[in-house]
Amino acid sequence: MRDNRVVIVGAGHAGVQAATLLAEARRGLEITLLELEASWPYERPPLSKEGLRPDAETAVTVLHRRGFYADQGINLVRGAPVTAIDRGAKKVMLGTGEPLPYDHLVLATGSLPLSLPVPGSELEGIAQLKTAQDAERLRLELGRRQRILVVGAGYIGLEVAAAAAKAGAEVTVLEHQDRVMARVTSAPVSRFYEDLHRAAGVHLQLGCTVQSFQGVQRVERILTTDGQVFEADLVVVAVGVRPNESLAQDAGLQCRDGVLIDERARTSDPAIYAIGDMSRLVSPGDPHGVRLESVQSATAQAKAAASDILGGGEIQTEVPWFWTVQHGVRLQTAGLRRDDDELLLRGDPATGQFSVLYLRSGRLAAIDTVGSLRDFGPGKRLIAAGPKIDRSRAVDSSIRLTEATDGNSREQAEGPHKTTSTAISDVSAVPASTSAIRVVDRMGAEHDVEWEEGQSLMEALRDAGLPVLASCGGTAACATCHVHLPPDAVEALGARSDDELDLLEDAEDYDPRTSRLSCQVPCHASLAGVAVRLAEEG
Amino acid sequence: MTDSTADLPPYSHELDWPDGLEPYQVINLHGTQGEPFAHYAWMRRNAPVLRCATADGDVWVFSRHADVRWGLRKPKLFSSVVNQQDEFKAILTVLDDPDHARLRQVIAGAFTPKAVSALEDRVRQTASHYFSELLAAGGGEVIESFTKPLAWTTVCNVLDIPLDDLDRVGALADGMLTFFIRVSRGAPGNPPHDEESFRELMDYMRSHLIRLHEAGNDALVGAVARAWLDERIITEQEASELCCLIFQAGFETTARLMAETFRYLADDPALLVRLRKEPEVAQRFVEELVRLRGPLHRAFRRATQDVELGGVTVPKDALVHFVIASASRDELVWSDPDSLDVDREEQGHFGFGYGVHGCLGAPLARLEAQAAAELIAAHVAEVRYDPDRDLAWLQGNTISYGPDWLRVELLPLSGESQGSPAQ
Repeated sequence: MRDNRVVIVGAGHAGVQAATLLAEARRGLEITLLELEASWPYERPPLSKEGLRPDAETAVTVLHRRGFYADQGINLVRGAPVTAIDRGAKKVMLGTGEPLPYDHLVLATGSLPLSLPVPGSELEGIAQLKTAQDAERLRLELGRRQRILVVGAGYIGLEVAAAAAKAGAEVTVLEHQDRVMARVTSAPVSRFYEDLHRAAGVHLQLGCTVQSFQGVQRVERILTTDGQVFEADLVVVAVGVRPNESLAQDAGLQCRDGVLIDERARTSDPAIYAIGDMSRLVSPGDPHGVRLESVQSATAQAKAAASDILGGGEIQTEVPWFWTVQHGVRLQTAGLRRDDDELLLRGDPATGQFSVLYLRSGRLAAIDTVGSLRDFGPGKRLIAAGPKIDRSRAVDSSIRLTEATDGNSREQAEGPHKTTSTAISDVSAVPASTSAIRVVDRMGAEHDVEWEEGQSLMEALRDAGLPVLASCGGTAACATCHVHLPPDAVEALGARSDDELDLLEDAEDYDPRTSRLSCQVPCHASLAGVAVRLAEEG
Repeated sequence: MTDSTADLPPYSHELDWPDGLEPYQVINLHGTQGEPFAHYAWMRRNAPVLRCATADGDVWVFSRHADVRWGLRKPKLFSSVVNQQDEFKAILTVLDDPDHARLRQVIAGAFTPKAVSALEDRVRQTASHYFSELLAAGGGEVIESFTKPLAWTTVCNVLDIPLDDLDRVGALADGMLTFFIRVSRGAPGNPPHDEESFRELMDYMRSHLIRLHEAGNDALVGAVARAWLDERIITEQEASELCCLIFQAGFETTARLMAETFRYLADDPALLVRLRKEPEVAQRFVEELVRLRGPLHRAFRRATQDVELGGVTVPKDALVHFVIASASRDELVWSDPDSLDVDREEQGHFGFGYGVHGCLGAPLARLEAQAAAELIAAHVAEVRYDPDRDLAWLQGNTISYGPDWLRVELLPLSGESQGSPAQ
């Protein structure tokens, strides 16, 4: 019996990843990757981000160069709809009427955007954003339309709103919840992004539900249930997606808002896998299960399916993560929060950089990081490892998040002597001529840096692992080590060379009172304890 | 029109070059510029700015230190994006900020002096291994048998590439360089094989990144992979290309430079003796070597606006070559500029470039070259070669300069047990 024919339906992140992993195993599999769209497989997240920028050449970033699939022995067929699955005969039926036999079938058909079932939704000028074609069209529209209404304040709706505002349009977002991104984050993060959007000129209408679209042929206005009227040249509906599972349903696979799968991505038919947005992972402990819309989850499920097809191996559970970028500020989330989680705010939203920790039974269940990825990696590790969190340390952003666990605090509390002696031996280990300085990086995080005599300030910063490029090697020939010092320190250091001034004056973040090239600042006793801030690049 | 023509610098092919010097051209197709220092000296004196007519238009060539220095300090006036090409996205030499800074930041941490000092023992061991074989054989072709294996092994070490893959990856990287020069610098290249090599190398690096990411690698490749897969600040293509770039840049120039070590020590036996007695001189020796023989001679730029420089107005969009190898020998800066003088006081050569595109791998190149120089000094009584028979210069189809191959004879120090130089 043959066992080497793999058919993958859908060439999004999940489908392409599965095909690639199977091909890379070099096990002689015949891999066919079927894609409904005619385009080469492309990345989804940028479609609503960089892809909408008016100066972008194209909204599309391809996943792999064109020759990749053939080189890997993957038979990619574009523009190939699948109309049915014949599970008995183990065949999928193509739009052309041809049957295609499989031994293993991987469904990766993604999701479809929800539309609003209200009067007028058939009018022209109501756009959605799902495919590359949608994004291309929308990008051109954004530059042309004056008044843009976005319905739905989730990731996609808000990313579109930010892009539209940047393109110079007057933008209003209508959301029926009382805050933005209510499904995916907590109130503090919602409030922060609401302020950000308002500051950029985006109007937010929260707690307001669309009753109908009106217009002659083309949409002209939206009526809401509370009687408001919003005029529009273009409406973008971004109210979420539903799994594209009709093929699976018709074939009799178990579905419940997503094709049900186990941790190996297997459906109720052992020869069929489902991965990506369309799948819902259930387990005996979690019969309701979870359906995720993210690249990370799609890729992880592709790995699980590929590994099962290749004969098993351990499945590693990954901490799911997500991100969005709005008005240049990144929200990156690890783990899955619940509304009943305990919230800890870490850092001050007013600085533009903070994190929200979600605790469940005293352990970290999820984390939102805003404007800085400093806590993201540590947070993800803590979610996976599951230690108890020390709340008072966790809210202190000067303490590293990984050191905010209960064990750490006990050690501290029980061993003051130990702590002291460590500190003393640390001091004695360092040359007496070293001074400690305080450095604030471009994300706003603070660092204690040792500065040894004989080093320039640039060398001390670089050796401490701070992002100081110093591309020219410390010859005052570029401005990539630009820092700000307190004005009195700059004065005490004396005149800057013409070479240095020449470069500083050309730098974006130049301030005549505080700017220095750190490669030109020698270690000096008077600078002990000085506060240094890394300048913006450019 | 006529007014401005008066201020245009002369064309190279219209100048009255002295006997024995073919007019300077930007691609050394005929092999007459394997060692173009006489050209540069004449240009600095007689035509410090000249134009070369090429199929892609005029190239404005600056050869004086002051002009080169001024231009390389102004990345906003002189862009490194000289060609519109879609093939390469992460080759730092053809990018401007902010992309240049974003990508460079991902890999910069691996090449700081501090990071490189952690590699010192490995580099010295590797150098010693290959050098002992060369010495045991009484000498040989130094690039294939010593400098290239040393540079390759070192870069494999930096990139965690298994040594078993080295020959394959090395061959692909050669093809990639040819393709890069074809696409970005207009050289003929070797289509379609050069492009195929590049694609294959990219696929190799991509798999390598994924493998090391899964293995939790915390060295350079792991950092690149995390920037791609976790932090998503670089794309897949950029990640793979950065690895290709590091591999390529890590051996080609360093291997050529180290070959020159043998030549200078053959020509100056007294220096060999001095290096043996004062090993600390090796550092200054290498610095002079880079000044005189840095394998990259030109920085390629495009003017972003009309720029006045060197008494002429470079028009917006003009292609500009800043000849760093000429600037590093400018009589106005260095006394007796063509001689290697480990005691000279003048500093600030452009052998590793200058400005925001300064060589990222300079600390590693210095370390390798010093290790090579110290080994020669410690174990060799005399280096011999015949310039007419044992040496060929690179020519055409490339952007680097230096020996294509170099055969030497090595006479071991008396009392030296052959084939096993001490560490």
